[in-house]
Amino acid sequence: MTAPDLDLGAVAPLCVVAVGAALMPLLDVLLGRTKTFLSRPVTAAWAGTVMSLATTGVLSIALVMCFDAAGAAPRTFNRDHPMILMDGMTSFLNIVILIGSLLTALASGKFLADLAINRGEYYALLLAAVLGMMLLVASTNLMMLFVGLELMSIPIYAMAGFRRDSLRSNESALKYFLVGSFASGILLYGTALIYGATGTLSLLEIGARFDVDDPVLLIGSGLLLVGLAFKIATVPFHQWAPDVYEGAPTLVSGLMATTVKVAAFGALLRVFQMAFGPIDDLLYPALWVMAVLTMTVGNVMAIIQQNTKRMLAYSSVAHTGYLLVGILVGTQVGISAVLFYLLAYTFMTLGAFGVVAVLAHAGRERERIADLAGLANSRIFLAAVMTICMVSLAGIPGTAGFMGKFYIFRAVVEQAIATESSSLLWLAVIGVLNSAISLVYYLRVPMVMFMREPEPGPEPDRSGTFEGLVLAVCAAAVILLGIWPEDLNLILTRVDVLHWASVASASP
Amino acid sequence: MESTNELLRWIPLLPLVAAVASGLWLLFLRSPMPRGGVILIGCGAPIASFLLSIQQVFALTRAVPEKRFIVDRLYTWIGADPFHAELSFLLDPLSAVMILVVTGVGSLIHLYSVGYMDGDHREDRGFQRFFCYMNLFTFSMLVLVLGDNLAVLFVGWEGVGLCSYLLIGFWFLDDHNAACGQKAFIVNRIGDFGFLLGIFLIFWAFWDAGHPTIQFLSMSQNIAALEGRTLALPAWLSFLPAFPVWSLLTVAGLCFFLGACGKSAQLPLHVWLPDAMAGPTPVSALIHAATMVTAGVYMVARLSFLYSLTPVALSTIAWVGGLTALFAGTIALCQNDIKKVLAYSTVSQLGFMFLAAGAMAYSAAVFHVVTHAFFKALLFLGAGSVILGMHHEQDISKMGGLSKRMPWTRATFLVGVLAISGVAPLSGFFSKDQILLGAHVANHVPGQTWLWLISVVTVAITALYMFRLYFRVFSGENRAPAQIRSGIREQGNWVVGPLVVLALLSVIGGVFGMPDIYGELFFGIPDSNSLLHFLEPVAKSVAYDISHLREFLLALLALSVAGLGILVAGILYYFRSDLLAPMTARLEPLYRLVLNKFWVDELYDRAIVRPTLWVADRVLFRRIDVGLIDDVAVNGTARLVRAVADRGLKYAQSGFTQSYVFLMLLGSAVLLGYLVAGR
Repeated sequence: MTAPDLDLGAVAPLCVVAVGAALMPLLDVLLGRTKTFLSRPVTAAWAGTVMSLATTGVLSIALVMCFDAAGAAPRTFNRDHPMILMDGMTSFLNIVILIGSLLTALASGKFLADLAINRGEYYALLLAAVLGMMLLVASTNLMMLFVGLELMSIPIYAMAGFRRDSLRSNESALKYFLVGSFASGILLYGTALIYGATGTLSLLEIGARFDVDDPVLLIGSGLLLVGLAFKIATVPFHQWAPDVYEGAPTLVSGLMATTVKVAAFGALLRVFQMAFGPIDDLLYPALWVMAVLTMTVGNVMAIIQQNTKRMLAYSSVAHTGYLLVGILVGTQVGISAVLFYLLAYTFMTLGAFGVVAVLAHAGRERERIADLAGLANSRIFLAAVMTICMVSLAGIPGTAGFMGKFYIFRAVVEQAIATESSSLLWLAVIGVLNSAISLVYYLRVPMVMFMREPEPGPEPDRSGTFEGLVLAVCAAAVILLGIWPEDLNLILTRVDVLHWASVASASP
Repeated sequence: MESTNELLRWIPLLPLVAAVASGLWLLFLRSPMPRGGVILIGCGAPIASFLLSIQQVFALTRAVPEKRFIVDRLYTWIGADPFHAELSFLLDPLSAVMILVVTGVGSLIHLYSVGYMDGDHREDRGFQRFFCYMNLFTFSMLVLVLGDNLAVLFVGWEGVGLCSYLLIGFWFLDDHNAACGQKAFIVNRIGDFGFLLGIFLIFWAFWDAGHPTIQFLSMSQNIAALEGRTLALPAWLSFLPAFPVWSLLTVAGLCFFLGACGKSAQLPLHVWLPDAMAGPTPVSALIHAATMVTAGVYMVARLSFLYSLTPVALSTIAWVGGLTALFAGTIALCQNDIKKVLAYSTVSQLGFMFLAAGAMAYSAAVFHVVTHAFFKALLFLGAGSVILGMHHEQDISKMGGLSKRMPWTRATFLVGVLAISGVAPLSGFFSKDQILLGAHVANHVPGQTWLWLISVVTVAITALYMFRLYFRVFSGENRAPAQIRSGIREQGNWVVGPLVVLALLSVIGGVFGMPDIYGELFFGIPDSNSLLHFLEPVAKSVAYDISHLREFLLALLALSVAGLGILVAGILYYFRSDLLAPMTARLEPLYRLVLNKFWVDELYDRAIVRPTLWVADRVLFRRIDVGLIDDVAVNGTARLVRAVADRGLKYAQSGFTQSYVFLMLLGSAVLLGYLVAGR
């Protein structure tokens, strides 16, 4: 037996995050025991800031490594049994995940302190979840995919219930856990059936041996699809999302709506690319219905929401629908559009959740949309960020959200013309109509902020330094991606996001 | 090729930077800058711009006349071939004259504003907001005159319109002021519509002729390609009586002139300018006397290569200008608001400028723009000083006898009055003289003798109403209530300083364009009309050939006519003011007609505004917008969607985990069933 041919360098970003996750509880304990020079223990808020900065640091190192890996040739961890593939698409998705979680970590310090839940394990959980997400998007093997999924989900369950004294937070965590384990069970069952039918767990192998007439394999594939559809919250597997997002601490909701979804989408893309090729035509009508339902139900339900977080939850369901459209197109252009959309979506959703998180300071929750009344007068910065994010989510030109939608629907229309498929064309029409519906609830938020008198009561808090930074980054990114999507001059390197995304989707 | 100079862009950009800086400050910091900072930035920017302009103009004059172009190209603004618009600036003799006026007179008015706006405490941020708008205006005006193509000119054109709107309604808390601002904006839209049509038409024509361009230099080089082109009526309009031939250049020229009518308040779009007096007085001086309203004249001079080829458009311009001059001058005779008199006077003087332009005496038009900027700014600022002294009283029937209490204001105002009346040798005499001469020799204008007569009469009227104003304000007994009377005094140096400088300019401003015969005769300088020769390469005025004796006689006539006006004013308002009441009583109907400004506003209100509002409100708004679009289309859809969510979908979202899982199972079952059955 020879030693396995391992390439540790390929998984270096994952290792960094893993080590960070392991060290974070240690840092927490150390900070608790350290005396300052005045021989007093450091305050909880101070420790929280250090922890949040440390987490941010770990994630930034991983981010830089992913940037480095993005342009390089694809690598696998174990060259004999490739279960982890680090190619362009993985790197791109990793970057999106890392940016999202990095911004969340940076904003978390003050957020947790204000809610008096400033405990160090939060950051350990966060890093573990990020590790899971990165594994999920890198896995080319069903077993690794399951490990990544669970490694991501379990910390998130805990984070959703992080406000132990809050009934709604507990409810949120429990619901998520119950429904989530059910979905995991389904996914695992599907994995077992697929293995039974094909004798392999490798996605590429499954694709190669796919027998479209084998009902066991088809049922296995369907169950796998359901398991992943749960994570990205497509209709009818979406119902947990509003309840869970509403109850969870707001930043955790933001994390769930963005990075978790990005990771699950990554896995879904991988499964479609590698394994489900032979049943594309069979899945097409099912996915078509799913996409239409997801867009429509998400948008329609969002209209009647009074709670900002629930509204954002349904909004994220609707965006899942748009993304599904991109996957459905299945072309190179479609997938790069999906990748671009994921990046844009992460910024605008995080910004929106971030504003709600700032407003939740000091236990005074301002979660109703009506609570935003007059925000433009009291906190113009928050109102401006929120407006930018809402306008972008609605897909108005000049913002990242518009460019994302534009690319997706352009891909749809191009493909529809190329294949003379009227159903694809209809998909584009329904998608655009849905965007119009979404204006109702997205634009209501700026309307309330700018045109309604605030209810009497104390003014909302200012955002903290790091929170403000995060919000500013989100708003700026939304605008920049909206204006220069094709050649966005990032601070250090010229990163052609769209071009890069199309390169990423080209790798096997 | 032409020389480039990257300093040129800073002439407009400096005021822009100042405006943006103080605007952002107000927007984000919510409390104004210290007063000194506002003055430094607000006045410093136009002054710096002025100094830079002088430097650039000197650089320009060093070149030989045929090569007097400095171009500063910033970037390609619109590159949609064949339509191509650069954001670039062009300094040539015409824009050189204009930028010197805009920044020079503009700077003086900015300085004056420090004194004028200082006592205004209607709003604590007003002082800074005022300078922010004024700087923004200066920027827009400079873009207008420096733009090297029609697109950039149009940007400035709209920019000054916006600033004019903002500044007329500066004290917007008073609804009347806001309404006046809107009126100015809306009336200008009519003109802008024509201007835009002109741009489209001329670009289309050049494109059709194989030279797609809207750049002035290449337009003037290729204009010959358009000569003789005609516009055919579309087939569905063929029932109209056949207008002889729709010359393309004539139509384009008339479109542009419609724009000029709006901006420069010519008949029939003159109605906004008197109402624009609702703005602070420095605004009236800068925008509604010295600079913005002359933009139309500038444009005609700028497009002179086009107009010179179309006598029809030229005659229209001349006649509209002449009639406006007479019409507005008559109205000014009976106005009692000091600023309204000046406003109608401005309309009238602008009419003179268009008369000159239409007579192809472009340099005379531009010359009058310059001298008018001097003396009309002086008169407005003097009026502002009076208004401040009278505690914001503007009615001249309550003034009188101010000469003792406000000696500086009185002296400078008198200089302005003499200049505008055309008394030699003040600046107004020379410019007006050339306009009359131009009208006299303009053979291409039908009925030019009548036109010339009209302008001569207007000269008399001008002298009459200006001296009426002067006597009513400064001589006789003060008619104000006692508590105001005791407070009347001269304003501080911020106010008096610019008045003195402008008075000096009004006196000597004529030397730049002194007709050649005076220069030779009195000073022994050949070619003393430096402005005419300076502008020659850009706007070639028509050459006339009449004897020197005739030219002298014409000037003498103008002088004596002005003297007549002054004499009548002196009799009626100074020596024998008892004659006035019986005279107005005898001419009652005529007096009322003029007092009510010929009922033009009322006519527009009845004929245009009210029917438009009626259709807009009753038909378009209530029936179509509210009834059809809002109720049925928009709200109907919204209600439907909401009902779907409220009555149906939301019951699926029960909150019970069991039901969620059940639905998931159901969904999975459907999916699996489909997969197995559908293979």
